[in-house]
Amino acid sequence: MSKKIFEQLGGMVTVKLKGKNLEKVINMAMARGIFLWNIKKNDDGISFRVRQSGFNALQSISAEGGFELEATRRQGLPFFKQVLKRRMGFLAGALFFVAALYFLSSFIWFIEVSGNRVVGEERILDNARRLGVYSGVTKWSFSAREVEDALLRDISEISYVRINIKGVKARIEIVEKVLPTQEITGPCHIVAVRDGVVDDILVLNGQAAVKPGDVVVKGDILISGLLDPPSSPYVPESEEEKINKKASLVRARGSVMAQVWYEGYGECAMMSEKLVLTGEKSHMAYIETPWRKLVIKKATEFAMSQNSTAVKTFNTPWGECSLVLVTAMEQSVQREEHSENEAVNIARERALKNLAELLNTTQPFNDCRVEVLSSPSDPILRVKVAVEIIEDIGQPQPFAPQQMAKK
Amino acid sequence: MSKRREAISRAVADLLEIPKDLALDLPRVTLVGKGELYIENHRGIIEYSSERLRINLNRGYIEIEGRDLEISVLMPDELVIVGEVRSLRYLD
Repeated sequence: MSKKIFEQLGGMVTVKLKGKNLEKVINMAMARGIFLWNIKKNDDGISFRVRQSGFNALQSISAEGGFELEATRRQGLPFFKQVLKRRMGFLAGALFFVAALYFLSSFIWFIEVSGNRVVGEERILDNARRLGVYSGVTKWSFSAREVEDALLRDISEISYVRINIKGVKARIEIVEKVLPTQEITGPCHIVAVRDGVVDDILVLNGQAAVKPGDVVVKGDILISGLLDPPSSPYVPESEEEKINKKASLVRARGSVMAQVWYEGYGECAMMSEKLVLTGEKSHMAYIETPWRKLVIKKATEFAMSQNSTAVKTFNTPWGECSLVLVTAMEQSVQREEHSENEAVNIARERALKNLAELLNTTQPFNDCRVEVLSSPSDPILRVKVAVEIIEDIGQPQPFAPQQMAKK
Repeated sequence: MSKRREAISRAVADLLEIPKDLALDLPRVTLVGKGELYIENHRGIIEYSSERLRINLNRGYIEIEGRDLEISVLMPDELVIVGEVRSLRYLD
């Protein structure tokens, strides 16, 4: 295989030799290091192949011995030159292609940001743009190292950045700093964040200010960070007040579970019109370029349809081009009438779903109260549901020691 | 090469177990089936036709008879013959 490639690269000549004592030429060629192969006997002589580089030497050998040498076929790259000379346009086109490929691949066309969670991609891209990395910039016009350093300096939330340039794509990899949550260190109370009835209280530090069964409103102190000094058994109670004892201040900790109520709202039309899919589909495809829209496939029109669109966008040097595939699914109207019970159930389900979304929970509510708000003649049935759940309502709230001193 | 020198070389090659084609410059002939013949350590071609080929050796020559004989590779000390080989003879 490699031999054949070298033959093509160096060029080879198929030669026909005529005369007497042809073995002499072969031996002389061999002695001078001219490589011959495929030696065949013909009717009036022999034919063989020789490399282009050895052909001239062979010619002089045969001229010396008075032999007749004829090149019957020339193959390989050196002979291809003559063909190329006749086809300059082809050569120019090929060269232009290589040059264009090189030229276009020396730009950065795409920028990708990965690893960011808190810092917005736009912000990183804006900063990179300011530092000279943007779509359409030449690769050698910036130093990735310097841009990395500058990005680290400019965006304080990131701890590591690396710009990877692969082909025409620059990938900015980012690792963000993980900042510790701010911990309250000073004295604080645990206060209620919402109204409720205390169900259970667990004090880890501080003094309980409520007991199970107490009704609390938002802002009430549940666990106090103010510790009363312990009364000494050696001091009579009457004397105790005279001694100016200082209350100690702590950071209250603990959990206060309380029953709280949430209200949700839901509604259901007594008669509803619903759009249902008939199952009929039609596809449409077109290419959107900055200048015009090229339709590849047309769709059949439906009176009512639900469209889903898939867009694939390509960044080209001439602007954004996108391939758009639209799938239209035919729809028809279906009327539905609900009895009151059904409507209440549907509205209740919707209200509970809204509530679950609001509370960000997936647990089912075990107890709920439904209240119908609308009158029976209304076309829409509205309900309010109230659910009771037990949750931790405590929240630390720092306080200043001076405030306490005033009290 | 004189006969005496050759005898000494042979004895040394035997003693040291050196391959004789290296020590004595003997030809190494490899025949694959009857279609391919490799000859190493040759000294040129004496006669070439498609029925008969005579190849010069260090001592004597080798005569190959057959049909459609071709020299597919020819290098200063190695050659490859393809075709149908019928006989192979060593001649002095």
